[in-house]
Amino acid sequence: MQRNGPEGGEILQRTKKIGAKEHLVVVLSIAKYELLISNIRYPLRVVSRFLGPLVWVVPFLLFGKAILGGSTSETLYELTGISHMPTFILVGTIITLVSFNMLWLMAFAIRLESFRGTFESIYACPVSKFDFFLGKLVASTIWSSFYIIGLLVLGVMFLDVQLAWSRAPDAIIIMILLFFAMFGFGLILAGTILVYKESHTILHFVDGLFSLIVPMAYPLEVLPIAIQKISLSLPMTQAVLAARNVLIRDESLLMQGTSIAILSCYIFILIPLGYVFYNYMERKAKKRGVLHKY
Amino acid sequence: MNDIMPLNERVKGELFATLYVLKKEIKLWKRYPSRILFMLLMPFLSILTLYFQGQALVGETQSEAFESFAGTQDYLVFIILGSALFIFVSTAIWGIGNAIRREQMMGTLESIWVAPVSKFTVFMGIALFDGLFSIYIAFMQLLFSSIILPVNLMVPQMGVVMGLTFLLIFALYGLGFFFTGIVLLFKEIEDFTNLINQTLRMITPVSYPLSVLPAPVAFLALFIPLTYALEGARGYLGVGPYRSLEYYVVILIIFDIVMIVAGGAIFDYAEKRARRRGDIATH
Repeated sequence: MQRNGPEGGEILQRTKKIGAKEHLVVVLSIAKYELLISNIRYPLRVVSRFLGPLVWVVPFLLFGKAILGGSTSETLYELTGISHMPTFILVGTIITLVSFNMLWLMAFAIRLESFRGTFESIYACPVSKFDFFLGKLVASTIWSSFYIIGLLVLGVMFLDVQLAWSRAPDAIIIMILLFFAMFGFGLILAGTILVYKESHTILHFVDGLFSLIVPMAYPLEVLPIAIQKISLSLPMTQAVLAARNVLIRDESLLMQGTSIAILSCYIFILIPLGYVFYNYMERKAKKRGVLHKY
Repeated sequence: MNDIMPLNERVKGELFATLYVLKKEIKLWKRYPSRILFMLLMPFLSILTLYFQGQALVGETQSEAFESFAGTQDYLVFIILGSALFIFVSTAIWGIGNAIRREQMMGTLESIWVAPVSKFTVFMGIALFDGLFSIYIAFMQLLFSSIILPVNLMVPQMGVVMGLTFLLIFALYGLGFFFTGIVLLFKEIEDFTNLINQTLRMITPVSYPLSVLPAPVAFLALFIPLTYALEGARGYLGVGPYRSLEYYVVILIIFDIVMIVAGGAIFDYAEKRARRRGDIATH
């Protein structure tokens, strides 16, 4: 006998519960699809992806060089205890770039499929949307690893950037925390874009706003107090501060208690919240009939 | 059918089509009002980012080191003017350059392609919209900067700067046609457009003078009209070195002619190739 749901539609037979291994297969398949198929199909994207980080970071360095006439700043030293401008900027921009990249790929995930004409197929797949998003995040992390290596090589070879390399494992732990903290953030943005569309505008704006308030190319101290407080509540800011302390000041990870606590809060609070929010926005999109619309 | 129409009727028809494209673009922007807010705030955000970086590195809006590179200590005015003129480059690349891809994504490319008007008429409508929109955004940016930051750029000399910008726009339309051709050939171009946009910003004197760039990169900037428009505009306002107004006008007119002809030729080639390969409507 046919059973009806609360909105009158037929309740479909549930698919069988899948285990962790199957979830992993889905996540990796999505990551592979995002990394290989969508890039190889459009070769210009590969060029853009490799050169993009460079043209993003270099203007900050050149502007710094133009106003300093060199690479050290007394004002920066008074504010942060770090005088070498390229080292300060490079660590900040790498962390910010990685977090933006994660945010972009996750939040734009749905919209991109919609443009590619593959949204309906993916939506109808009997897999969790969260595996889908996680797959996108994994792809973004793999891309980001290339960025990090490339920019660090550039910094060491051409900019005399000197980092506490023995602290690299501490920095990797910070990046892992950032990875999960951005997942909740990305879910909220993806849900918003599902209903309100115009993903480019929202994402470019969020990107621009975060570029301003995250202490990427300057310390927090130069921002107005109110903006400093907002910035300190962001996971990217905490990751930038912790990474600078670890990699430039040679501090241990254990000394980054505040940053780790805030990043952990994002992981334990924002991921469940993002999950609930995304489901709510998906229901809203279905009710309005805008799920598949442009 | 167009070939047997009298010339004046045909010109009238093309003009009407241009205005209808303009109307369509305005309608589209009204449909997504958040875009206007975004365009208004984004260039200002990039100015503020550099302003704060300057505060962190030298603690004020003047820098002696900057004078040795740019001929002026006032780096803030330098970047505000650079950012305002760069808006025209961005809108030309994103607007005209991506017009085809946008129509394709919206499912309206085929209708536009088979309309009995010249493709350049369609692009002129988009270009007209982009030009007007850029003027509005650049003006608002200069106004905001003059209100919030310690600079005053609402001065009568801005009329001449607008004249130079007007000459720059035509060269940028040529660049837009070139991009349209690239879109036809390579499809998925958003990331690439973003890269070109950022690269142009990096290698032209938008936020810093050419002299801080490595020589080969600075040499490339000499083939980009924005370099001359920026030098002329800044020099006329007394921010940096200056030759003569006539020099910049002549250079920009040469760029206009060369870039429109070259951009048009590349678009023609790309369109013919896409038609032959049956690529026009494919994603």
